[in-house]
Amino acid sequence: MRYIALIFIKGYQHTFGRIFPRVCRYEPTCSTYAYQAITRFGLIRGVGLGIWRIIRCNPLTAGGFDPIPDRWRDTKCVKNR
Amino acid sequence: MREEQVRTLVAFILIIAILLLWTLFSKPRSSARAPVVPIAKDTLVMEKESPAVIVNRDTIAIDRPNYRIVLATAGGSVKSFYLKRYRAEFVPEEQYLFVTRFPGMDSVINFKYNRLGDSVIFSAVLKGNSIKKSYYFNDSSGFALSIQSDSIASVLSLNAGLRVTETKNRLDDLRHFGVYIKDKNCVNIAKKIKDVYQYRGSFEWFSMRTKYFALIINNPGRIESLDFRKILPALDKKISGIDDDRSPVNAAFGCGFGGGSTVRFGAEIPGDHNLKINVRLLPLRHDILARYNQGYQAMAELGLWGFIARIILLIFNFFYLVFRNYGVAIILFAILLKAVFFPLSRKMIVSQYKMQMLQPELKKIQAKYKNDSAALNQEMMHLYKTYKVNPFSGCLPLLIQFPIFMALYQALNTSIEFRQAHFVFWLTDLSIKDPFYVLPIGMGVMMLIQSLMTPIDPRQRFMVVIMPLFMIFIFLNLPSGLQLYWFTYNILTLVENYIVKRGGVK
Repeated sequence: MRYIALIFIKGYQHTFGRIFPRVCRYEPTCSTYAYQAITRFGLIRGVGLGIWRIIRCNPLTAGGFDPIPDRWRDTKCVKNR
Repeated sequence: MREEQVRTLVAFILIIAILLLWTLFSKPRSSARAPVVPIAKDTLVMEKESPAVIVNRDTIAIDRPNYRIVLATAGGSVKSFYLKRYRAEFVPEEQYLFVTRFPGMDSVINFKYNRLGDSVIFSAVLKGNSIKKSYYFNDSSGFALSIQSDSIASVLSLNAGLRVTETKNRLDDLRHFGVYIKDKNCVNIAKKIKDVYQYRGSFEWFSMRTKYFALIINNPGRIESLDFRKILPALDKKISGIDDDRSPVNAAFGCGFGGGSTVRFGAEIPGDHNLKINVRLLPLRHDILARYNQGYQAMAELGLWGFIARIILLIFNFFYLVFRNYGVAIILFAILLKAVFFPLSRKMIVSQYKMQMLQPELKKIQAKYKNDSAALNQEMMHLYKTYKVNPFSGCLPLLIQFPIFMALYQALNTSIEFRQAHFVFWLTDLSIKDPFYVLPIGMGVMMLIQSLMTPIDPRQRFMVVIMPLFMIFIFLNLPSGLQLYWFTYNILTLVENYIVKRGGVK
């Protein structure tokens, strides 16, 4: 399952991600963020983090540099920021 | 830079290939297949490939406020079923529906008829046994039909299937043909009908549908068997004059992307002595179907994003009530959507403007990290942060557009409201493509202007030309209602840019 999700993200990055101009307000981009989150924390937590990131990625937030946390329990700090 | 462009081009080709493959594989093979299958003995009616020849043409015309029906004495059948409001005929040319046939007989017998007020009663005597077939035209959308006989079993045949009503886009109409049976749930059984499908069991109603209409047969007499069949394209060509090239590629580009079979279906109610059905011919509009409290509306569900599509349709219909024109309704809807998102897009335009002022700084960074794109991105992000600007609108606005677009596509592509909906000049039907491609090409031009107006990352300059071309390609054969929406939306984006900039940006 996890690998299907990862392949899906890579597939997106190599097709649509290339064609459409960049929209993501963050670095790394939402797709890269989700990819790294899934590799580090597994499918469910990874996807959860990814969705949370996409929700944050809108004109009302500042955007900017936002790497995935090193450990799962650090994720709370990200939300507080 | 060169390599980047090549990779983008490859990505484009990949996407187009995926779309094409998808349409090819989601299309069932049609013409090249064995025409006859082994048939069970008890379904005598299935032995004949084409409906029996009808010679006599005595007809009885029934004119009601909503429809006009012509009955034929041959087989006591329906020769014409015409909905006045939609200007649509449902019986295929030279064909008959609700034909009464007798197992083992090749031809159809002629009935005598008697007309009494709202009813027509056919009667005949066959081998000393009498049979009576009565039509009651008591319903605003159809009729009740009953057959009574002491000892002769007869078959009621709808084997001719329904006619293609959308002559301007036959293939698209055909793609939506299907058969539903409602027992506990409403199920589309079109996929089960390989060649012949015998349904045995109770049901509340069954229906045969086209893109916009459904012929519903209610079952108060508790019939428990139905025989469905596929009308093979080769035969169909002969009997119904449908002569489109049904190659998958043609189908894909003829009616937008997406598969779907392009065959019609026939049905028969196999014989018994007595039979009682109620027939209704209704447009597939959710609100109209729901009125009957029979679960008909299950046929008008609008796919995965159906609930959003229904909200959009409500808004369209509200605008229609006021302005009596669906083209105007589409334009107003685009304005409404733009207005709702205006605060967000204002923010975006302002930040794009600020970006222009940051250009010199950006150039410096770009020169510094020429060979390390990850570091460059990171460095750029730092710059944006210090100046509190961000040139990107974010992933969420883009992703939110997707369900809205899908719902809009569903609403505009399959709703009967837009059927033959006249707008202005050459746009006489918002449910089919723009015949002169003015809207999609205009839309592409608009996109080009828009992206030339906004400062962009030089790495994406290549995209500025390709994107509009890509969008034109995608939109070329979509319904002109949808094209009109995007055309308007793009104009409004330009207007919005102008307004915000004139309003002054610090």
